[in-house]
Amino acid sequence: MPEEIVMPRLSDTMQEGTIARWVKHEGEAVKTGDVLMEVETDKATLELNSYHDGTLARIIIGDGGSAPVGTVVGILSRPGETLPADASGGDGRSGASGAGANGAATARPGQPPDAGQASHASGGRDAVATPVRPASPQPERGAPAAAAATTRPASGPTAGAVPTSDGATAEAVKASPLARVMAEAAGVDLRAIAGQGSGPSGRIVRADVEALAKRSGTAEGGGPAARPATPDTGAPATVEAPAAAAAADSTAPAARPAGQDYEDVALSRMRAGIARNIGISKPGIPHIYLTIEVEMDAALAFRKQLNELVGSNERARLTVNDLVIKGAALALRKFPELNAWFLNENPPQVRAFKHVNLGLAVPVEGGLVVPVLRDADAKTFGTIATETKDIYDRVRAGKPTPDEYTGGTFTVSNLGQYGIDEFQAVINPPQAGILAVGTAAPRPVVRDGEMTVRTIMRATLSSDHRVVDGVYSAQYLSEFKRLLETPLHLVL
Amino acid sequence: MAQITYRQALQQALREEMARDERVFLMGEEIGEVTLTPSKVTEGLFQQFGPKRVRDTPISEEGFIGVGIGAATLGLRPVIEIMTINFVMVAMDQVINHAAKIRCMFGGELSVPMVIRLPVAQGSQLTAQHSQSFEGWFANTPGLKVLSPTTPYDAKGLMKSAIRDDDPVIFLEGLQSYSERGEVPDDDFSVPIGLAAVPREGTDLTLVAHGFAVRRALRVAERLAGEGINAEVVDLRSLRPLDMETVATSVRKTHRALCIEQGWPTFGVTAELASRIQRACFSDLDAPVERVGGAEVPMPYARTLESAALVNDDKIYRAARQVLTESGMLGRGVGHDGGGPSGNGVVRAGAPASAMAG
Repeated sequence: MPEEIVMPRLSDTMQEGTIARWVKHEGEAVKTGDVLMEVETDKATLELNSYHDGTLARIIIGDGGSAPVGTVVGILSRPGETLPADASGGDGRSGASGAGANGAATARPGQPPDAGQASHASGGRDAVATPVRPASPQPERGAPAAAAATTRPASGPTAGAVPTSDGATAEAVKASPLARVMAEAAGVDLRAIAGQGSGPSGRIVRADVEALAKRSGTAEGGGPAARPATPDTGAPATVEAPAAAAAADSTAPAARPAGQDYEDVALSRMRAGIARNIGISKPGIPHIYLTIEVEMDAALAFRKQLNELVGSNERARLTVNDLVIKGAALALRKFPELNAWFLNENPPQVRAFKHVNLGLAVPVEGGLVVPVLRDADAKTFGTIATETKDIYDRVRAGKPTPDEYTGGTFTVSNLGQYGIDEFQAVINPPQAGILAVGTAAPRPVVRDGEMTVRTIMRATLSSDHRVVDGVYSAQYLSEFKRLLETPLHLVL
Repeated sequence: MAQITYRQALQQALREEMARDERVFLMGEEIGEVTLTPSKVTEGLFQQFGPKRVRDTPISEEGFIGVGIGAATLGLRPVIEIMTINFVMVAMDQVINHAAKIRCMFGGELSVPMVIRLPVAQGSQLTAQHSQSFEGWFANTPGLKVLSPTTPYDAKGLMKSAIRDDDPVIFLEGLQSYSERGEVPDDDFSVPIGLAAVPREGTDLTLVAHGFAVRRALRVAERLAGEGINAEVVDLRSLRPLDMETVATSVRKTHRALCIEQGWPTFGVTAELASRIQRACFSDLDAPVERVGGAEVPMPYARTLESAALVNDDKIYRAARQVLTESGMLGRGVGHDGGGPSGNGVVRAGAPASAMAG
């Protein structure tokens, strides 16, 4: 099998390298240990040795070319092998003729960075934008072989480039900082007008956000009307609005034109945002689903006891969902790998959050929002009870504070109010898990060989399999179950 | 209250301080017995206070600034005139390595309570070596204070504060401002160091400037007012220490900022301002912070070229319009991403000339 020669990672911080020069040429024999090429990194110029015997069959990125770590820059054929004419692992940069190891990436000595590079300068993430290279003296290096050292036109895929397809992420939308802050506060989604702002190149500015907020009726003060979630009916308070009901809230269709048996209805901005998020989350994140049954009798009794102590102070009364919140949060303390987010970078990383900020899925008119209860694991029941009510009130009034919606690390969603036994929720990025809880209802169970009745609630954990696996998720659920079934643990 | 000129205001400040404190004395070229120096700020003081208090010096800036430093460390309070800012360059070692550092290097046992007056002028075909404005160099130096008054009121008030301050103060005067008139109180007042002023309040755009450029900014603001744009002007008055609180408060209100200086903008005063503004007001900015400065060339002699290289009202006006365009206020213009400012308005390094907004 031919061996791919890849751009090596020669230092911890190296993200891309430049081939200063190929020491071996196409067609040359190579023995293990021979120097194949000299690679310029952010720190120095180093040699890359061959790990195999063979022939340098093809150079894909030639002298002066740059590539991110891991890119195939050449092919080494093993003794006795020949390559098919069009086999090229990388960008196919060099011509098959191999004339002069320099492919299209040959640098021109003494030339200032070209427009392509200058245009990257604003990106900030583009590794190609001229970094400081103390190891490589600039044009002074003298003419011929030095052609490599001088300039590196933006070649090859760039590491860490931000996807700019509109709507990919909120961050990719061009908007002034003020516009962003205002959009968050007003609850409008910038992606709805991405690229259509009044600023240059369609940058969104304050005036656009104000106009948008006015149009969608989500200007501060005129917030989305949330469906009331009664705090104390013995049923979990937070519910997830079924998609069908919400869709019906969007623009009312006019009389159907005769002859057509469908109607295209524009999504409300919130629905469009949700749709986009789910479109990224569900296909993008490999979900696994685990369900566990929790006996809620002890928890309900515990709740009754606590609420008796609270007495007539309505705001401080605990709901069953408050117990679920606390249980989910405390279980995360013990199983913190679920309190994380998979970072799709090169190399991939997991962001481990230091706080347990629970997102609470709350239905509002036109969709769903997920305000955040910060440090849910550290708060007392009393605090949780009042804070969740405050959050719901603010969401209903349409006056969330900007950081009410940011910083969530894990989400809890409860459809028990609708009689749902169990369901599998979609992870709400940027997170790695979501706990979906159903109705707590009396069911027949078998205990000690006998049939009896217990109040059972089913909880389903959806977790990101890139971050945790089934066993860990199962252990989390067991812990959640343990906490709720022996509820005194919840106050430890 | 009286309407006096900037020059007179400075003269009054010197006179009053010299009368109040006998340690205050003056040095400079042609400031005394015959006041041929263009600033003429010291006119009449030699006659009033005599040769010990008003000393004419040879053409040796390094020498007499050194003398001033020595005198200051021994308890006197010299106010030294350098004929124009350009000539202080031959004395930079004295200013930067000695005046600015003595306090720290001597563990606080010595200080250098002196004022170095630096008139700044551009235009009038003064040519490359006599048309510079590198106050940024001093503002960059810890140990110095740097002041730049625009009005006669501030000139007098800040000069008094400078003389009374125990640190070395670089005092920038505008040669083109000496004849400007303004209201100045008769009583003994001073203007605190490190406090900016807001000579014109507005809501749509903040223009930040110092020295002579403030007058330009005010004129541009008037012009913009005629187009329905209400600009606020911040007069820094003090470059080191820099009053960012006033600037940031203004930008948070207007959401747009344009920084103006007469010298070369690269690594200049506007560079520092823009950096601090984005830091302090990031979430409040509706457009990138713009900067205007002189062309990045040694000042040409030919009148037409000089005119093209200088900052003028038109360039400031165009830059202001660019900021407004960037925030969508003047219809969809062409923005410029990345790069620094350039002398002639808003074309930035790397941006094609055709992209300049009309």
